Amino acid sequence: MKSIQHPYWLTPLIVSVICAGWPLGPALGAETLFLRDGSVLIGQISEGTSHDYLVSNPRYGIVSVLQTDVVYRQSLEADVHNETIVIRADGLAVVASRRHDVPKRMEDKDKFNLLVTGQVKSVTDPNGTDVPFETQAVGDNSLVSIAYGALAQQVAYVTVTTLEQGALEPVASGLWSLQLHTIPAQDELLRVIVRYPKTFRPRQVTPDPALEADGLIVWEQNLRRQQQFTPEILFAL
Amino acid sequence: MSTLNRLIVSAIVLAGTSTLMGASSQDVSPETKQQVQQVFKSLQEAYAQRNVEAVMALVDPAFSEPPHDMLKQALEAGFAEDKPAMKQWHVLGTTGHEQTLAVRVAETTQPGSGNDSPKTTNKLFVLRPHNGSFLISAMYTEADPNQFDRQAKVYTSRKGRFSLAVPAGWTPVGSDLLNSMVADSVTLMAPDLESKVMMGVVQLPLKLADDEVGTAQKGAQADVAMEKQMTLEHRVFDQGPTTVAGKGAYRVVTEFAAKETPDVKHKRMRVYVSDHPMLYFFLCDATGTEKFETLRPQFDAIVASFHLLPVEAGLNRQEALAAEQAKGAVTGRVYASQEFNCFIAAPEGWEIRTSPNPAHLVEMQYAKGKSIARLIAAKGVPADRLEQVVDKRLDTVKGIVLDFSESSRNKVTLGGTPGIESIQTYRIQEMGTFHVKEVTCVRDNTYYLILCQCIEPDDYAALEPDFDRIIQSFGFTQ
Repeated sequence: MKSIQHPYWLTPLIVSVICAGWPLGPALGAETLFLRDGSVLIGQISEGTSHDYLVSNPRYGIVSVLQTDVVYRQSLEADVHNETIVIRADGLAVVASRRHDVPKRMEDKDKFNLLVTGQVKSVTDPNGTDVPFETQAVGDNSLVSIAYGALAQQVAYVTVTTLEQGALEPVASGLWSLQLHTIPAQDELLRVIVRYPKTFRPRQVTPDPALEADGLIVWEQNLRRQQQFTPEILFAL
Repeated sequence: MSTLNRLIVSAIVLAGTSTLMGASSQDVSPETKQQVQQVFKSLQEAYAQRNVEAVMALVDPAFSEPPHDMLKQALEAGFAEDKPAMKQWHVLGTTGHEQTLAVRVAETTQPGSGNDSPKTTNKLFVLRPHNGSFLISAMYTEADPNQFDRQAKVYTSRKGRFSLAVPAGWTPVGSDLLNSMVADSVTLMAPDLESKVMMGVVQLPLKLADDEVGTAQKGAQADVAMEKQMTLEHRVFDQGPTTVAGKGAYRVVTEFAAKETPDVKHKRMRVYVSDHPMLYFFLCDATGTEKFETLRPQFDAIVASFHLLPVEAGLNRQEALAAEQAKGAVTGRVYASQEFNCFIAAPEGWEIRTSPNPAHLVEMQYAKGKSIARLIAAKGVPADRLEQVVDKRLDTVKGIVLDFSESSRNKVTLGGTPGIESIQTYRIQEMGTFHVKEVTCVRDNTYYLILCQCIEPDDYAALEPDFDRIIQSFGFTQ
């Protein structure tokens, strides 16, 4: 077993490359680990020892991450509606990844359209594989067209990642507000993950999040269909 | 017609009144029963032949519920389908109230297309004498046992989360007409089968005032103003604030005659109860003004018995009702509905939410003013009727607003589909001047209306770019 330093990490975390013997435990599906230093690691995770996780990552191979270095572990369960918001360092824009259900294909239709806020950067399927798409601007929004043929059969949803300008709005007292808004069509467990620069100071987070760590806020909310969810963070920049 | 107009318009509740009265129900003679059977036999034959005129010949032209022209249009549209739904009626029982008959009927509907099995619903038909026979004066749906506890005499709407005490001898029924216009409703028929209390709830698309009583007052007075416009010999007797179920409310008593039956006077107590954005309404109608004072204690008792049921933890009343029947989802400022195959977005500075009001998919409220925009959609409209649909809708609007003026009408493309854009101004009493831009299109037999209403004192010139953004964002999922 050889220890390496993950090149993305700002503060070194010790990870171990497993040279042989994968897997030591059952794979739990693609997950994202949010680490204490602000970085993230995506991959198939299995339980290692009682102190670490083993992560199979296409770029780094199989690595070990100390459990104490993991701030939040995000699973990609099919029944959880994930929404990830990353605030850029300048605070002027956010990168948002949101899940969109693939509409049931109608007769004689070979593609479907989505309207999303911001500029589209990527579309991926549930495995994280890029999906080809066409896009055109419609005011502050984008129209995304995706061919059904570009998706594997039975793909239930795609994740659209967008760049949204002006998502942080100035409010009274010199604070900046990030407000999100969801009304689901069906009952669902919504998980909203917000990553923000560590130079930002959250002054108020409503409602109470499931997790609040340095640079990371997570809400996990069971929503009834048509129930409004409008979480808000007030930042001092 | 928009829900705002439907609600802030009394036209929806002017139908279904009658002139005859009786005090208590009684059995009817074998001859009368035979005549009733003949009415339903004729109805069956006319339906089987898809003969609209023959059906309408069995309907009282002055007193039908739903209104005569609305019923005729629905029949024409239904019979024009390749495989129209077929109906059969089986009379369960008939009681008489002097000359008016209450006929309980099992109505079986066989869907024209698809593999759905026949559905049977119990209906209450009101029949009135005409030239030695009977004509159908009104059609209602009986409340089912889940809604009406006959022992306790309590009507409970689990959908609307409210309950009402039903006086002895009164019958709770559902009105298809009212249900097509408001989020939830019930009609309590008085023993005379003419007087009644229509109660329901709508989601207001805009804030009428800053407090509950003010909202109830504004809504009630706007409706009374339209009632005056649409009726004859209109008088306001009494009005003022009140409290119902612990909520701020407003009461207005009026008297009027319908234009179709100028010799019959109606007296109505209107009570509006606000729990923003929900507005609950009571329309307590006595046919024949002399009956009003007799019925007033029962009207008051019904209103006083109104009880708001608790909603599920974590939900407010708007969400609880929306959970029952609103469509689609909102993410950020984008609304999308898979069922209606469409999406639309609100511009910055607008709030957006779904609506439980029938046909209303989503509504947007200008955060710094009063103006609103809505996406309305309904299925079952052929594309070749686009012009007709727009004309009919605007005719209805003209009939209920003041100083209507259409400044332009243009053919446009909406989400790649041909549509019609219309710009209008009009006045609604108690609410002010509306400057409207709307676009209508029909695609895959579904009607879409984007209705953008600038309400004074908001400035249309300033808001028109936002209206254009809303309209341009509309599109179809497939």
